[in-house]
Amino acid sequence: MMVATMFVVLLANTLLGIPLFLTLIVTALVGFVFVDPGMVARMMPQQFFGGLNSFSLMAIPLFILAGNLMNAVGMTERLMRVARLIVGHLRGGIGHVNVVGSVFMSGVNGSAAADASALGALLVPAMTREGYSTAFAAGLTAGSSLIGPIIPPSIFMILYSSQTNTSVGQLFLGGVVPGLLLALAFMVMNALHARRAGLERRTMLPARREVFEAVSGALPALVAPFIIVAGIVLGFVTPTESGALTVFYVALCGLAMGELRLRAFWRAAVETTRLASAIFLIIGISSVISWELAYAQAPDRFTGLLEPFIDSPVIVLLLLSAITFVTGMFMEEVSALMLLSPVFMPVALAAGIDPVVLGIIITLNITIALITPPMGACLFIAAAVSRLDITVLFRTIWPFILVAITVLLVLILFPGLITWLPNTLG
Amino acid sequence: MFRDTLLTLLGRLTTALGVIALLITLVDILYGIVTRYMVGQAPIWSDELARYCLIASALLIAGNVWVRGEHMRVALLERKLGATARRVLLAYQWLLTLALAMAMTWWSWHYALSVGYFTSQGLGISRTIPMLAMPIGFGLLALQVLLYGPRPLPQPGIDDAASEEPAS
Repeated sequence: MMVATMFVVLLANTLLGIPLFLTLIVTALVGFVFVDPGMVARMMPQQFFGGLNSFSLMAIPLFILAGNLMNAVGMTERLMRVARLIVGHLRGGIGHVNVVGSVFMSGVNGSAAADASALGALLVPAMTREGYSTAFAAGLTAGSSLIGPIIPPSIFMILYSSQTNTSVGQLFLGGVVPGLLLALAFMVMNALHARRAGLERRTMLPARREVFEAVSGALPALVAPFIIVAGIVLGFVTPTESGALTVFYVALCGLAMGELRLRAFWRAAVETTRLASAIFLIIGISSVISWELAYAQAPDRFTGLLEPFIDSPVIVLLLLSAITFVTGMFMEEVSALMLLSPVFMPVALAAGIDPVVLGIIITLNITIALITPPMGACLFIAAAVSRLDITVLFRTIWPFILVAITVLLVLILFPGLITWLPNTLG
Repeated sequence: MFRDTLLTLLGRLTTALGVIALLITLVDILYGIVTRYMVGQAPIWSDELARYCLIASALLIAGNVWVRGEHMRVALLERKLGATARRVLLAYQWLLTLALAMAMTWWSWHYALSVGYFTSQGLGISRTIPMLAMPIGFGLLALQVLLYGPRPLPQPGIDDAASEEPAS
């Protein structure tokens, strides 16, 4: 009753256009009616501050700043040039560039929204010039942006880790193969589309010298993800320290390349602070609701509900995925992740599911929600940067969602694809 | 208009303070890494300072982010409604936001004062000091909501796209 009422209030206020953190405050207030209304004045600020007062969460704005700085110093363009030289000559090459560019960018950024806005603005016009429909170009931009939160570093994985005490290093390693699988799936989809649409292929292969110049120009950005992951996995730095070092590294590269201006640095910091504020307020209020759910013993009741399936990890993962998918369709992703992770964890442990596998599956589910109507943030961004009516994208996005769900099902059936790298290197 | 000028000034001031807090965090964490590898131990206050600065940064700038329409929300409905229904919806959004911001200011103010007897482990300061970020942040949000009035919030990205002819 409590959870259902809270969900209805959340959904109603979200649809009425109330900013999500305020919608969550209303939801939390409704939760206090069920828990104990007398606790609201004390527990609301206490849990809000307590939810934010975590060193691992500090990594989030730092990785966002690193991504913004990467754009500011022209590293994104250099990465795109490499992507263009590697796959641009293939049939549907510009579509492949979109996907490979997302893989490269995800190595520093970790945010699907940043990926969709940066690559969409750059590549959708180029794709339409080369014969793609705007709807497919926007769909591929939204779809490939899902790679951002899966390949390390990932904001969603840091959040999951903060909620479940799972190692961020292991999660980062666990995301590599699924991220590459996702990229491969979208490239296959793009290749099939290009063949069906009769798009021409460029016969000119890039000259070796050109490739060498492009790769050496983008080398600082290309090695960044390895530095980030290695530093964390080898135990030299924490994820937060890794975020700070990445900012320092990108700024240093920008200075060395003569591309870093004080004004651009300040602008990147302003954008970061604004986005971090929006995310942190959601995290803070989600912590209040998480506390209410724990107080009402919701995780235990949920585990009890799934008791009949506990012997089959695959079925449990499928059920958890379905719940996450539907929740993600109607709820903002950060709050969905914050609320669901602690509820799912006891079930997963009872079913013998590796916390890293659960983390990647939930992250992928939450990420897919970013392109799922009616509230997928990346969908709105892709539509905006493509100058496309959102309702058109609501209709044409489904094949891309289906591709992502196929990858999700493959990972659920073969969790070894997730655990192989953490087990080998961890 | 006077209130728009005031909103702009408040926005600039809080943004600058928020960014400075973010940069202090960055420098502090880097300093912590350097001292850990040079001296063998990071200062005890480093971790705490980073956390408090980032929380303060997020809360200080929250009002300006609201004015810019950058808090995540779904604005589909208000674009589909007729003029009268839209006005009613905007009034509801504004009143609810104002009420919640004021309530959070009140609760967090009293909570911040109530923990004044405790000191933080790292910095050794009264716990009221970092906690004050909440009433100040929500108070600034309430003030900016009040000044802004029940007007439609900007929709970054969507507004830009809507100003041009949609493709199909």
